[in-house]
Amino acid sequence: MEKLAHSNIRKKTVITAFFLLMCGLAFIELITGSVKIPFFSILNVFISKLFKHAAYSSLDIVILEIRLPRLLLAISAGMALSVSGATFQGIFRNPLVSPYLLGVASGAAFGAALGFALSLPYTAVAVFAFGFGLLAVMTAYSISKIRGHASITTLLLSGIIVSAFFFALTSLIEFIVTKEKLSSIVFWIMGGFTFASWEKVAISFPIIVLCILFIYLTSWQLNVISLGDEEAKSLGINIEKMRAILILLSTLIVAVIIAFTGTIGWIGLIVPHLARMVVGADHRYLLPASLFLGASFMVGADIIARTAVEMEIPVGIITSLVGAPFFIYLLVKRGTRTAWD
Amino acid sequence: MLKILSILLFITITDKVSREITLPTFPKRIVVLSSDIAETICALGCKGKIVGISRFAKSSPFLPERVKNLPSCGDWKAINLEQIIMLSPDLVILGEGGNAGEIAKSLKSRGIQVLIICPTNIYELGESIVLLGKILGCEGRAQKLKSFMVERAKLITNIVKNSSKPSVYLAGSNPYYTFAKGSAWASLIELAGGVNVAGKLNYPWPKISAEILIKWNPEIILIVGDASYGTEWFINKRELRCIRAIKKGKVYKLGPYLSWSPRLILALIEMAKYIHPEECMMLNFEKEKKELGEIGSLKY
Repeated sequence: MEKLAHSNIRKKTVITAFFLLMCGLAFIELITGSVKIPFFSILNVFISKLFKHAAYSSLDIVILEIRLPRLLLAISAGMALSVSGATFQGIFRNPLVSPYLLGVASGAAFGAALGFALSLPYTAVAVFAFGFGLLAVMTAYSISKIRGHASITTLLLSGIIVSAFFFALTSLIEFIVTKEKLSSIVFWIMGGFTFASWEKVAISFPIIVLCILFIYLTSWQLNVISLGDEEAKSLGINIEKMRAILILLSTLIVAVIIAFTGTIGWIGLIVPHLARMVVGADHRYLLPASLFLGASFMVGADIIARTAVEMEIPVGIITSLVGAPFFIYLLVKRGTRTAWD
Repeated sequence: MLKILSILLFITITDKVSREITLPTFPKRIVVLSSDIAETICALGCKGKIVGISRFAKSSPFLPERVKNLPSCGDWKAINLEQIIMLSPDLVILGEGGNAGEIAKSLKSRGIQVLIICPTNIYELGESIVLLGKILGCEGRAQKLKSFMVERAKLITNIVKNSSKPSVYLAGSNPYYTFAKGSAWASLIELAGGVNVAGKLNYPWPKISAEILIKWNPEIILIVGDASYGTEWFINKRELRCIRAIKKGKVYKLGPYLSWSPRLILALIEMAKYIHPEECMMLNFEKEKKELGEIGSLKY
């Protein structure tokens, strides 16, 4: 018992450390960028904003209307992608699952491509991306249930099928459209926070926080589900219903965020994996650890995207460039052993 | 057979080296896989020689209906080889970009003559029009079109020579895509007497952000004509309100003239008038547009 209490303290310490890491990186995100702003000017901006309504200078605008919403959008994206990844991996007891595998990214990419092809305004493009992202996952889920009980294998297979289908549709659109529209589609698919704004934060942040809170409150059900269907049923959990709700919520938060940012890969796969290595498979600890680690990872990637060269690198390229080799490292180092074995 | 010594780098056959090329004397059946070049041929008064067009030519606002109704033979990504062979052309003209090299190779292996035309600035465009004129047998008109373009370009250069050079941001198909060193549209800004704020970036089509734009703080913002958004995008973007161009209301959307056809000169005149409105007062855009339409046989 004492040992268990000790291990829980250690887990809480790790979560606190991840939280502090997020805060530190958030601070760096605020003080770096193409416009050089001295540290004290930043403090000054916040203080003067709090205490008096001074006239806006371009310094205020860069910090309060560009870097701050961008930071919050990056944090939301990191949280949404990694928590949904952790949830999916728990539900399916498989460390390789994420909403992307069920087609949310390819569905959203198709929606965005369609929006650009029809020359719709950016808001409509986001709505299309969101709608088709959800539609793709729902289709994959329904296909897997055609023959009654949805097994994990059939679900993943239908996810791959739906992804392939939407990928082909996106390619078709890319083939038909003009050069200008093609470049818009390609940049959207690469993903990034260039178009971050307070409006986008105001829509995505509350939805993501509420859904994550709900998922967190179901941590113990998630723990039971991840033990296996038999165990869950014997404990009286309606496993089908719970699974459907959790899939819906984690897909919703991912669809909301990628509608605004474009597809950003690998975070949902790698962050929960990493967090599980440190705090174990108990979702009461795994979810907050993934939350803060995911946000840190995303903000860190965005700092690189903004400052590495004099123009913007789509952040999705950075997350994939870092994520993919790191995942290989994990596989080589740990083999296929998972927390559930 | 008509022999043309392609001493200019931009006239190439599959590769970018100067060499002697042999083309049929005054070809009668031409497939043009670039809507800009199709437009130039129409301006030269030779629309009757075009038998096949590119897919995007169908939606060009400047091509005559008769040309737009011709069979489409593909675009810069992929061609419809069967359709091209069916049309039995004696010349296929490609613009550079996309898979032009591969397309040319596959056509040549089937015994079809190919010409790739890819000017990179307004003077090379003038030369390429003369080349087309020679091939099509209407060199006189081609020379007139070229002289019109070169004269106007030189006139503008002279007018703005001693003026101050305001900084200009040229927004592309997306508000944060711009044109930097090595991009043809960016070189027009310099010709029109402005300084491209993105001019120092080495990548021709960089993607930037609100913060970078605020740092550059351009005096004038121009938007390319085929963009799906308008000036209101910049004006309504709250975080951009500290930029000089937006404060002074100097955000303009260009007309649909950025193209590798004679109307490119109209884009330059338009830009010069936006960048130096007072100095370029004497240039009457509508009059120039009408004159260009009268020299060529295509109304703008």
